[in-house]
Amino acid sequence: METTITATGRRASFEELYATHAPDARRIAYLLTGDRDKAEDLTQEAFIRVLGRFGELRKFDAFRTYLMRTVVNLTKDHFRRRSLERHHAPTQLPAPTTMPDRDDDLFDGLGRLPERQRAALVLRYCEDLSAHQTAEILQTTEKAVKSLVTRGLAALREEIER
Amino acid sequence: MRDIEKELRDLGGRVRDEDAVPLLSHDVLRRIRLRRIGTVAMSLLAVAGLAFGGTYAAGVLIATDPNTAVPAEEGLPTDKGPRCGPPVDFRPTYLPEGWLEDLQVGDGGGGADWPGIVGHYGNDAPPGTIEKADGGFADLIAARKRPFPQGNKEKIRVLDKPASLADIHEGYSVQFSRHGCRYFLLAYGIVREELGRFAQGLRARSTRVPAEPAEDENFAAIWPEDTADAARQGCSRGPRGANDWRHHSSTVPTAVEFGRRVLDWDDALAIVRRRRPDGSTIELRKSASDTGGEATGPAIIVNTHEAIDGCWSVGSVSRLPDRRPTGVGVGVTGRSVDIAFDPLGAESASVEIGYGGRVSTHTWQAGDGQPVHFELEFEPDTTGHFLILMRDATGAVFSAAGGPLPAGDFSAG
Repeated sequence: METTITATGRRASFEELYATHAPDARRIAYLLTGDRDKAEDLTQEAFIRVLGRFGELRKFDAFRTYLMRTVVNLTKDHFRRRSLERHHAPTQLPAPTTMPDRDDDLFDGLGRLPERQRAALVLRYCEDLSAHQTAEILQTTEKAVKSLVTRGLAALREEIER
Repeated sequence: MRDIEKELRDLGGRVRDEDAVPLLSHDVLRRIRLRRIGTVAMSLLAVAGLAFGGTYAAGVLIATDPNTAVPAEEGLPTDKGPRCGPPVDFRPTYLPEGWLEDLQVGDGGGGADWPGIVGHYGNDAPPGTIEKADGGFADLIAARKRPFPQGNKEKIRVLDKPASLADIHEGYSVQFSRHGCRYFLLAYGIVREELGRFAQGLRARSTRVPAEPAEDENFAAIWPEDTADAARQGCSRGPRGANDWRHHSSTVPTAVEFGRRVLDWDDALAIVRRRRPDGSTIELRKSASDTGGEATGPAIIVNTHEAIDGCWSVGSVSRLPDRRPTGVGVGVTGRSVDIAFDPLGAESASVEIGYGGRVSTHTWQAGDGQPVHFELEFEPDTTGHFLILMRDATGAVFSAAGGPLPAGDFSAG
């Protein structure tokens, strides 16, 4: 089994890291995209990218944060790519979808929020992370996270009560 | 009133309950290992480079000494130091195929022990990253006191000023200046020519306030008309029925007519690759005898759609097998136009920009620089289109790329 040495000297296999963190990564990707297949793809891609850079990670304790950050960034790219595709072929592609897997107005409303507001709500509430942890993943300040959450909650309420 | 915060927590719990550990596929393992091997190799080489005190680059440039004076480049100012901030006012007007636009402002590196933005290998938060879908990327980095690699340099122009394109280890770099500051555009996992074209397609971000959107602003077609008003008029003329290519039950006659009138392909063969309720994706081959599974001669993709009810238009064209225009970047700022494209080995190309029946056409010759720049003789105040016809040595069209343009300033690649 292929292994790598972490900064603390502990040997961890890719499989072990994957088994430990993949469910969280996939869940966040699913909550952000609403698409289980896409969430699976994004999770695998995130692992490929982060594990491929083992030698560059300075804090292995923060592996989970790196991974979640990569998932959020890949999700952002996913939506941007879709937007670009629609831009080039406005008549060929379906209208923006929200959350195809669920018949749930909350989930649906979440899918219509701006990306960063959605990410802030998913991380703060669905994942129950602190403002500090959320800020680390979103690479912003706690103050900015609080602002995103406040605005996100207001926008989400508007979406589901519309 | 609903307790949204509680509902969100419950939502997280429900999804968590459904979780199972996903399988780690062999493909994922293989790709991780490949990346790991690459990373280790680069790290070892970087260490070796530093040990010898030389300048070394592994995808990015690694400074041997941050205080090293930057050797003066011909036509480039020397480094101006900290006042040179992130190049937030740039935008690409050309993105090679498969690239994603992701120019964004870094946070200055505060607390960033991990670059964060996928695709970036630098030590500080990157001011801008352009990522390629399969893992390559280009980073736009503000002025640093870093020496530029010597040898195999090519002089190009970026933002209308002299710039240098050079090889770095496993990648390429462009050095250019703006407002007295020096920037490095670092690329990894792409080809040199792509980076050169991309760099020359960089433009300062427009500060113009967009005009009020015109009526029918969402109209999107390139031929025979590029505005809703003109299309309504065009569609109301002529016969309706089996003999009228625009009102035919199939969109094939529209694609064939486009080939005949625009590409000079009088004997074209159209193969419907995908049907949609409002149009089709059609492979148009130059020769009707080119009937095999794959085209052996010139061929393009033509997307037809129902721009006006009951009447077909060509929405876009692209090289085979792409289903949308790729390898093309278009920027319109005021009357100023920049178009960069992958010439696909063309000897020449006709580059056409049109808005509401007013057309500006330019000829690009192999060896000419890119992007093609010109000034429109009219305001782009309606919807419009671009169309690039790639020609061989005999002047015959062998490929094409074209798509709709919105009114006013626009930039996309």
